[in-house]
Amino acid sequence: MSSKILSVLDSKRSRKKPDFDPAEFDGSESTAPKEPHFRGLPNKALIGITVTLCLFGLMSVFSASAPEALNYYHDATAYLRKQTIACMIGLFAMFTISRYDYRRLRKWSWPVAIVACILLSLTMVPGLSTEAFGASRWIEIGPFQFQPSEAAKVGALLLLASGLSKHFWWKREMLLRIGLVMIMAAIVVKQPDLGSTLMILSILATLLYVSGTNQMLLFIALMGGAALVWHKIQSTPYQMARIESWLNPYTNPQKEGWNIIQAQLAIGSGGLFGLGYGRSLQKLHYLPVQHADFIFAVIAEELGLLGCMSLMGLFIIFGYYGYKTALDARTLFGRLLAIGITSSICVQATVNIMVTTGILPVTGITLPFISYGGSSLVITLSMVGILLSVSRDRDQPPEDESAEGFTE
Amino acid sequence: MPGPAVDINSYRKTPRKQRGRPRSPQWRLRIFQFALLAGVLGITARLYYLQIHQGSDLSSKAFVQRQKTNFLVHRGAITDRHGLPLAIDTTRYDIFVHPRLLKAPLDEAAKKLARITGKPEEKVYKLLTGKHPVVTVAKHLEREAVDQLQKLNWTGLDIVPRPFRHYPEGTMAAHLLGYVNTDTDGQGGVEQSQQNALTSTGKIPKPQLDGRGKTILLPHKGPTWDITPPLGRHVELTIDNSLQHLAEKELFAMAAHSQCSRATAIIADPNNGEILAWANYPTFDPNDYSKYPFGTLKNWAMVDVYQPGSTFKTVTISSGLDTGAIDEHVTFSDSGTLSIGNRTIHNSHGGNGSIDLLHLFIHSSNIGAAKVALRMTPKQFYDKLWDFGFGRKTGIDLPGESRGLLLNWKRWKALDQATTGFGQGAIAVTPLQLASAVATIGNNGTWVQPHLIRRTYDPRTGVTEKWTEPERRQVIKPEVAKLVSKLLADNITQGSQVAGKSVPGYRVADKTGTAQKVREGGRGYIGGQTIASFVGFLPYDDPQLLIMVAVDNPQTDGRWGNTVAGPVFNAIAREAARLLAIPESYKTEVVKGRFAGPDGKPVQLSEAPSTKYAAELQKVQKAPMKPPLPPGQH
Repeated sequence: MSSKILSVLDSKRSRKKPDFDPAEFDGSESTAPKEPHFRGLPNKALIGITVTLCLFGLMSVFSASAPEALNYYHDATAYLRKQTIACMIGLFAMFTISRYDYRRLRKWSWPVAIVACILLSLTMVPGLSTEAFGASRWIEIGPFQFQPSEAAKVGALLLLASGLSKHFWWKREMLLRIGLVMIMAAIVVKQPDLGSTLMILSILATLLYVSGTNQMLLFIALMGGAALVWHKIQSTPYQMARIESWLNPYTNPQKEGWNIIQAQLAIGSGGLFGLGYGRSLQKLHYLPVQHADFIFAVIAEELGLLGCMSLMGLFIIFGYYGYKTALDARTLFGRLLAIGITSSICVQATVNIMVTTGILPVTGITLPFISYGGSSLVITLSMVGILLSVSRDRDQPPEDESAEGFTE
Repeated sequence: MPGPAVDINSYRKTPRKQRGRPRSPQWRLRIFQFALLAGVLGITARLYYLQIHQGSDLSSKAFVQRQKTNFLVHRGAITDRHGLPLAIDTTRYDIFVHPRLLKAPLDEAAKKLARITGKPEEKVYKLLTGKHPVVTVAKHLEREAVDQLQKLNWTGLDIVPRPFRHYPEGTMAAHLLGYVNTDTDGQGGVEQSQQNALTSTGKIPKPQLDGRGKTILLPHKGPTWDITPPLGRHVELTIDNSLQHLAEKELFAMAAHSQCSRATAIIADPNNGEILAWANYPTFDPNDYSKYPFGTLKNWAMVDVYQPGSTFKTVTISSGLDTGAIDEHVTFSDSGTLSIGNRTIHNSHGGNGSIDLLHLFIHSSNIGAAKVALRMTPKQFYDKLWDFGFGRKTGIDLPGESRGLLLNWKRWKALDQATTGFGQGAIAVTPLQLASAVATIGNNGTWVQPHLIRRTYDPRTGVTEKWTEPERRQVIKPEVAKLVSKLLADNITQGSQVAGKSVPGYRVADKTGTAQKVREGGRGYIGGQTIASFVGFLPYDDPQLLIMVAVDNPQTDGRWGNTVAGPVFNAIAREAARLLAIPESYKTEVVKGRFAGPDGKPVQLSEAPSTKYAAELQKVQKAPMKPPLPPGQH
């Protein structure tokens, strides 16, 4: 039904005059004036900040990946070109999705989640998955590689937001969705990819928390989850080594402590103003995965404390407009979607920077928009597209009385 | 599919804890946002700590990490005063093989490697077939062999250039040079004391490497690094190779002949404290130091003390004259014994009657020297000895010097003071200390710090970076020093001893010494064991050369300083004076086929030990020279 309304509105929408004209619906023949209306322009500030972050990311990826690319492809721009293509696809997807009524995503939530789940389980199939760094996280389709755990994030987000906007958390429908998200998390943890697991679970916890779940229960569940994670860490030698090296990196500086020490050396070398763009020395095969997980260290070395602060400022502005979109959203679904998307991006950025600066142990998650990684960038930008779509459905000005009673 | 209606703005109208409806996200969202903001603040604080507070520390750490460390660094060379090499660094190659990476069959590979490296084939084959993934096949290979190995062009064959210390003169001046151990640390001698200079490669920066070991090409002006392997500072010694060789030749001949346990000969320039040669017996080969007993590696003439005996009388008389306790016309009655308390001091040859200072030296009267010592107050005597450098380190640029034993004057008894006067009793010195004290008398009463290093200089430019500035202090008045030098010279010409006499053309001032050996770890002396010593300088009125010879526990020639150490002194002095072209004291004339002495009488020219005992030495040299007994075990 909402699609009908969208089609009606589509013909009458004008970019010059985006605002709702009450006269149209005050007409006598109007049968359903209180129906929700999808209109308005996406939040321009959000678009601007997203494009800025993407450009910042491309710039950093070029600088950080150049030595690696020279080494493997004899072409410093090899990774940059791949990332630029991904960025273009991502931006295209973002604008396309932003034109789409997010409320129609509700019916896509189950299919997306199930497809993501299937893709995730495909990584367990030996022939299809690609192994790298001892983990099979990628699916190879022709020339493309795809990381299904990113899709799982979107699936979990849609599933939970659509569920929580309709049902209380203890309803059967809701428990089913939570169960599916947990299954996805379990598959991801099997890959093994603790970082993505934690991201999916953090989306789950965030949405449950902000949608009004009993705090005590959530707290107990979190404690239980933490105990499980701790058990998992203790039973996995390399995870335990990560924890130990995080607490004291200099006990084994050549092996487990290497990442942390090199990242700290890189950050420390930066100083206030940095060595200058492209002048990082730690990226010359000292930093591990310097264009992906540890790209922030390269940024810190090249652009210094001021560059880091400006990058974090960009993320803060992004978070500000993301949450503003959420609070301005006129449906609970939209609000939860916006919260989920903004939170997952901001939490991911915070955790990545914390890992790089040595506040948290190494988990292996990327810096959204900035890190090298095609599927990650495309999915992130698609999520921003959903966010933009939500931002088009914001509160009306006070004189717009007819919009007041809108409910879903 | 419209579900139950939820007013998302309900929080504005309803109590916060309204049941039955999902609560508004807003207040919980605020908490969440606050947590995120706290995270951002934490990151900011951490970044401030890392980049500002710890910034310089971390960036210097990163710099050190990038600097090349496994680098071929050559030590500087050690040369004699004319620039002749005593220790040089060359490049040799270590060969490592990864047997599992070898494409050739192991037995064939072993055959080839054995042929090129000159190792037995079975041994190489055993190494290759062993369990280890990497084996060291050969070390210190020469370039020729390495060229052949490189032509093989095998995978799994590592050729690693390593610095290799080479001592071209073999055993010569071994104790002065020391050796370099397997960790390329200098041990003993100049190698240890000048470790920093020898390994300091100057201000040219080292190359910086990326994580895969490739050099980073930094975009700045000025030299990034030096393409030649870095080289340490060169150290130039005061040693003269020809004199060193001479001293060793004569000393080792006498040492081998007299079957002594150890011996030393020091040649120095009394005017500036430069040590021109310093021979020690037994010696070792620093190229091959590990084959020698550990005690042999010690420079005993600086580390171990002995009781100097009669040679010390020079110091006693100088002190007496300088403090005014005696004058040059003083006479003593020497009955051959002197009782102090319940102990009696003896001369070695009985009484000498009434003697003056000259005859005190000629007869080497213990009683006379004891009486001189007793005429001074203990403090006067002690202070003079302290000024002469006894009881403290000379500060020579070698590691491990001993300060000798000099009892504080407050603890002296009269007997100690008397026996110290003739170099027994409460005194023990190193040969080096005694040599520098006697050099003081030759140098107009000024003590000069003995030293071995002339300068350190930059290997590329040759610019001197450091000249050694020896410490100086006036110990006795110049006139007193002149007087004692004259007495010592007259002692030679008027006395009966051979030593010092047969140096035609030069008037030598010297003193022999035959000290009893102290029992180790007990009281009293070892009967029949002596340390024969001889110290003197020439010409007496303008000394150019100071020679000190000490032979520990000789078995032949009556064990006297005159007969054991004297011939070594004569031989060295004759040849050294000729080599250094020291102006003669008097015109040498040949009378009846012999050289005439200063008084016109012909002198008996003693034959140099190296020629005199040549036949004996040949027998000894056929067997590889090994020290008869490691010092410290007799």
